[in-house]
Amino acid sequence: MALRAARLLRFAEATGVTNRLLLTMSSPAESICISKPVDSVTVPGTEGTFTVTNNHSLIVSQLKPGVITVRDGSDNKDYFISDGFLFFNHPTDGSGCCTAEVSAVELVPTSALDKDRASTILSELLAAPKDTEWDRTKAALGAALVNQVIKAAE
Amino acid sequence: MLIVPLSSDKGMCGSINSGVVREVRDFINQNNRNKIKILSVGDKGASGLARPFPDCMKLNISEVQSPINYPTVMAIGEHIVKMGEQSDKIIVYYNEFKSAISTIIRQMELMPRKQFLETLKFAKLYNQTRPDKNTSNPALYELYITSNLWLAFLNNAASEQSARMNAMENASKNAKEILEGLTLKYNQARQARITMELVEIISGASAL
Repeated sequence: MALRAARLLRFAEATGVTNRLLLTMSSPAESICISKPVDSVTVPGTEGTFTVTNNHSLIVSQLKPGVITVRDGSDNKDYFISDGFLFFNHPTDGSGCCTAEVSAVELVPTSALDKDRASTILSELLAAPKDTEWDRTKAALGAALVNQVIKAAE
Repeated sequence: MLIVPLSSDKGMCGSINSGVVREVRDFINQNNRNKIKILSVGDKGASGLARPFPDCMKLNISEVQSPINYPTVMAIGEHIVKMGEQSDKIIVYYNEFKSAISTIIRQMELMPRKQFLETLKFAKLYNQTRPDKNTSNPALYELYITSNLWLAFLNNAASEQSARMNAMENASKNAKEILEGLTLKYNQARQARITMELVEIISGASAL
């Protein structure tokens, strides 16, 4: 019962909020937040890391493996994203609240990352035979992802 | 046109598979079957559609692991995208989970790659896309297809579970009723036989 109440509170939509950035972050496994008012979000775009706040310009950006930082007042939360997209939209009603949606393939809090396990997987990947195209691609993409995991897990 | 019916591999799950097969059959009969290809997921759908439309069935994917995970759906999505390249639309048939006792059959229309990229050309609202439109739009198409398929797969899996639970529960209930009826009959027969033996013994004894 308490678990369900806690989960509902997490999704409580702030009604009557004006002029704040509403953040929705979700992955196939779970929705981390839906329309949560925040101050800013820093995301790892494929061409570089950038931060969006309310009234940013419209943007659709592909994201590469890295850390997403959500800032709300003095509250900073870090999440690790493997791949995904950021969609930034301007408000359609008069509330002045822009919406930022992060659709991720995998999205976890950085506290959930295990650095030792990641190092083990990295050495396995680099040691694996690279005969076929698939092996080489897997090693390259996998190494890029796992390196980011190790960096984020600190 | 590419049709993707989602079904289960095992039976005993109520009417979810036959419902999907029926809808697909009606759809194909109303349209030109020469232009239709079927990519079926699940043995039950394949067997239901292979007999009436052997020329349309192109590929069947079975023994999809349960519970399903996102990378598997991505891989299935790749097959669908490849087969749907030349079609004008891709229609996914699945059972939407409304509640533990009710599911409804839905058709989800997805755009083939060319149409999606064309549509994005009109998305002039976004004055920036990062990286450039040529790199990120195909990736966006993959996200679009896989997310929608993920929804369809999850709904279908939940519908299959609840339909199987209901079917099994009904089967158990019916079996229990039959058992009760048969138990009564057994006791009646047993008592009748005992009575007959008693009667024989008593009439034999009284004859002496």
